[in-house]
Amino acid sequence: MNYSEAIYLIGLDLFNGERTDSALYHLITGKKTSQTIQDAHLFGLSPLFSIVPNLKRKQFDETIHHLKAQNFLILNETSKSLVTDHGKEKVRHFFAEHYFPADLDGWRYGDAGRIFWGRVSLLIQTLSNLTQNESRFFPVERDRQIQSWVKDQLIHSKSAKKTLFDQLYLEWKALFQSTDFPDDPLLIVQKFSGWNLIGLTYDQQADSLSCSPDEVYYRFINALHYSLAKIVGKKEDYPMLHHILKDLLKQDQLFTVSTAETKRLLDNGMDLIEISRKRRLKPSTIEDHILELALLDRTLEKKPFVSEELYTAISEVAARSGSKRLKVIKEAIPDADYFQIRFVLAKENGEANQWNSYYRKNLALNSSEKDKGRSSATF
Amino acid sequence: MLPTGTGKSLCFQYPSYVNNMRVIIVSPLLSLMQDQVEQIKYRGEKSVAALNSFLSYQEKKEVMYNLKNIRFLFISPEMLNVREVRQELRKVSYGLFVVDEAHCISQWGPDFRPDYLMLGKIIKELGSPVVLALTATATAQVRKDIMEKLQIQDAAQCIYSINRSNIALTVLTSDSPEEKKSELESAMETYPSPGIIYFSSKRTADELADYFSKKGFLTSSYHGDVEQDQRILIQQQFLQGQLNWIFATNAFGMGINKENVKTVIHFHMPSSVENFVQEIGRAGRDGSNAQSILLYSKGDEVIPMQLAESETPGSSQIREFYRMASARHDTNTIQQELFLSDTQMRVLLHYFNEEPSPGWENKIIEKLTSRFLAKKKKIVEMKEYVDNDSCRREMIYRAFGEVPVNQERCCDLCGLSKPAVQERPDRNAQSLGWLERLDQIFNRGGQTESK
Repeated sequence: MNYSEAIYLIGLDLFNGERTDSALYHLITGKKTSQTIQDAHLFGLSPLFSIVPNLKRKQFDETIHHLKAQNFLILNETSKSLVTDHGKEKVRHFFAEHYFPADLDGWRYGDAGRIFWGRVSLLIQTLSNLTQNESRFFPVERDRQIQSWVKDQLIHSKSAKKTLFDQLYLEWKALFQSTDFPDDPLLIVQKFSGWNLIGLTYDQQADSLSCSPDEVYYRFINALHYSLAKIVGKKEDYPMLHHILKDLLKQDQLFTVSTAETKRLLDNGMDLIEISRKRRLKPSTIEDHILELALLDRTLEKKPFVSEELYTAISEVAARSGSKRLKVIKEAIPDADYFQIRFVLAKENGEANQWNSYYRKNLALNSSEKDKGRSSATF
Repeated sequence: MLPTGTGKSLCFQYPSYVNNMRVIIVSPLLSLMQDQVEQIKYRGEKSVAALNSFLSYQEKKEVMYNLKNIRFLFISPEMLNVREVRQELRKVSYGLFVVDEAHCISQWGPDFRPDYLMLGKIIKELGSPVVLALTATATAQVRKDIMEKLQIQDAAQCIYSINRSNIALTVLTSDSPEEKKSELESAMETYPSPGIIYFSSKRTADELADYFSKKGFLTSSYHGDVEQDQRILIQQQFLQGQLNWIFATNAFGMGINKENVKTVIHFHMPSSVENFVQEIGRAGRDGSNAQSILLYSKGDEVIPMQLAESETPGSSQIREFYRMASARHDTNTIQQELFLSDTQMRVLLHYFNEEPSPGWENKIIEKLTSRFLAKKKKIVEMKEYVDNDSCRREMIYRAFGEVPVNQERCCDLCGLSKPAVQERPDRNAQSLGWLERLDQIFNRGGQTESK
C-alpha cells in the first residue's frame, strides 16, 4: 500500500458507503460545487479538499481499481465502495509506520496555500539573488500573476531588500523552531531555492528523507498547512508571512457564488420558495445552497427550516444509529422530510473534525510510541 | 541549417533590433517554447510572449490583445490554425516569420507534424513577411520538402556543415541489457559530467535515474510526464551544477542552454541519424572537447522499428477510416472502433480534411507506406552507424550528403585516447540539516562570498 492509497481508504471509510468513488475524486481535486462542498463537510473530509488539484481521473481510477483488486474495498448494495476490515487493518498498519498528516486543511488552505507557496518561493529566490548583486536568474515560479505580485512588493516596499530578507529568514526560523512544529522542517526548507542552491524535487526529497515521493508530497502540504494556520493564529509573530498570505484568505471565497446570492436574499428575509421564484432556480437547488450554508455558516438560524422539536429528534436518531443515511432516519421519524434531515445533519456536522478523530480513534498509537514516531520524524 | 548550439536564435533576434520589427516564431514543442521565452527574458528583453494551449483563457486574451507590444511572439502551429488568433495577428505587422525546428514540416522529417502543413497558406494570409526556416538537422530531401510546404521555392539556403568537430564519437556494444546497465555505469564514472543520457522510454529513464541516484550519482529523470514545476527545478539544478546527469527522453530537448555539457550518452539507439546528430549537438556548445557515447546491445533496432510500425495505420484501418469518416461518424468513435493511436488519428484526419476525393484510400495507403519505408530506411542507416568499421564521422557526413573532412580527434574507430577517470562529486547539498540549508538559502554563514 502506498501513501495516496492509504489516504483514499480513509476518505472512503469516512464516506461509509454513502458516496461514490467519484465524490472522493471531486473532493480531492477541489471541485467547487455545492455537492462536493457538502460532502467535504458532512463527512469531515474538508482536510482533503483540493489536496491534489491536478490529479488525473485515470490515475485515480487505477488506484481505486488496485485497492479493489486487493480486497481493501468492496461494493455495497448501492454500488458504493466500503472499506473492508482487511482494508482498515492495512490502513492502521500503514499509519503505525508512517507519519499521519493530522494538520491538513485543504478546505481553508488548499488554494491559498498554493499561491502563498508560489509567492514565498519566488520572493526568497529573488531576494537571495538580489542581495548577492545578481539581477539575472531563472525564476522557479512562472505564473505571471505571482511574478507581478512579487515585483509589486519589491517596488512598493519601503524597507531595504536586506531588511525584508532578514525578516523572512527570522520568521521562517521561528516557525520551524516552534515546539509543536509537526514534522521535519526539511520538507519545506529543501524546496526553497536561493542564489546558489536550487530547491529539490519530490523525488530527490524522497531519497534524502528515506520515504516515497507521494509521502513527501502529503507531508509537505501538511507542514505547509500547519504553518499557515500558525501564521493566521499568531499574525503578530509573523507579520511578513501574514502580509504575503492575508489577501488570499477572503471570507466570501468559502461559498460558491450562487450560494452567496441565496444567503443575501435569506438575510433580507425571503424564504426558500420566494428565493426560488425570484432567482428562477428549482427549489431543490436553493435547498442545496441552504445545506451548504448550514455546513459553513454557524450563524445560520435553523428556525425557518425546521422546528426545535424536530431538530432534536433527528439529531438524536442520527447520533444513536451512527448513520448519515437518510432513509434510516426517515423511517424512524416519518414526519421529517429529506431536506430537513439533511439540514440537521449538515448543521450538526459543520464543525466536527472527523479527520483528526479518525486518526485518534483508529490509527493513533499509544502516546509513548507516538512520541517516538514524531521524534524520529523531526530527526 | 545550423548545427545545435551555433546561434540559430541569434538569426531571428538580431534582425528584430536592427530593423526594429516584430518577429513571430512557430515552435513545435510547448515546453521548449516556454524555455525560449524564459531565456529571452533572462537576457533582459521583457517584450516577449508565448501563445499556446498551456495558457488559461484569460492569459491568452491578454497576449492576443496586446500583440502590438510584443517584439518576439512564440506560437504553436495549433494556435495559428485558430481563426480568431489569425485575425488579431493580421492587425499587426511582422517583419519576420520564423519556423523553428523546420524539419517537422517535412513528411520525410523525423518528427513529422501534420499541423505544420498549413503554414504556407498562413504566411500568405499574414501578408507574406520574410520567412526564415531554421533546423539543425535536415537532409537535402527534407530541405526541398520544407521549401515546397512553405511555398518559398526560391529561398536562399544557408547550409553549415553538420559536423561538430569538438565532439568525439564512440559506440560501446554489449551482449545483454544487464551488461548495458553496467556499461552505462562505467561510462558515467569515466566520462566527464555534466552530461545528458537519452532514452527511448520514459519508464527506463525513471527507473535508471532512480537506480543510479541510489548508488550515489547526482541524477534526475526529465521528460514530458514530469510536472512543470519539478522540471523547472531539475533544469536549474543542472545549470547550477547540483546535478551531473540528466536522464531524458529523446522527444524532449533541454530548453535551457547549458554550454558546458561534456558528454551525451544514448542508452537506446535513436530512430535516425538526423535525430542522433541533433541530440549529440547538446554537448560541447562552449566549443571545448566533448563526447558522444552510443550504447548498443544486440536487437536494439527492434524498438524504433516497432514504434514506426505502430505509428503507421494498416490498409484495412485506412479503408475503414475513410468509410466511417465519409459517413460523418464521430471522431472519437472512429478512433476507438479502429484502435487508432492519437498520432495515427491526427495524420489520417489531416489528410481527410485536405483531400477527401474518390480513390483517397489508395492514395493515402501509398503515401503512408512509403513514409513507413522511409522511416525503416533511416533506422537501418542508424544501425549502419553502429556496425560501421571505418570511421563514424564519415558515415554521418555521407548521410547528409556532405564531403568528409579528416580531423585529429574523431571517433573510436579512428582511435581515441582513454578519458581520465572522474572523481565522483559528493552529495553534500542533499544531506544538509534544515537550519544549515535555510542559512545557505538566505546567504548566511560561510558560503556567501560573491561569485
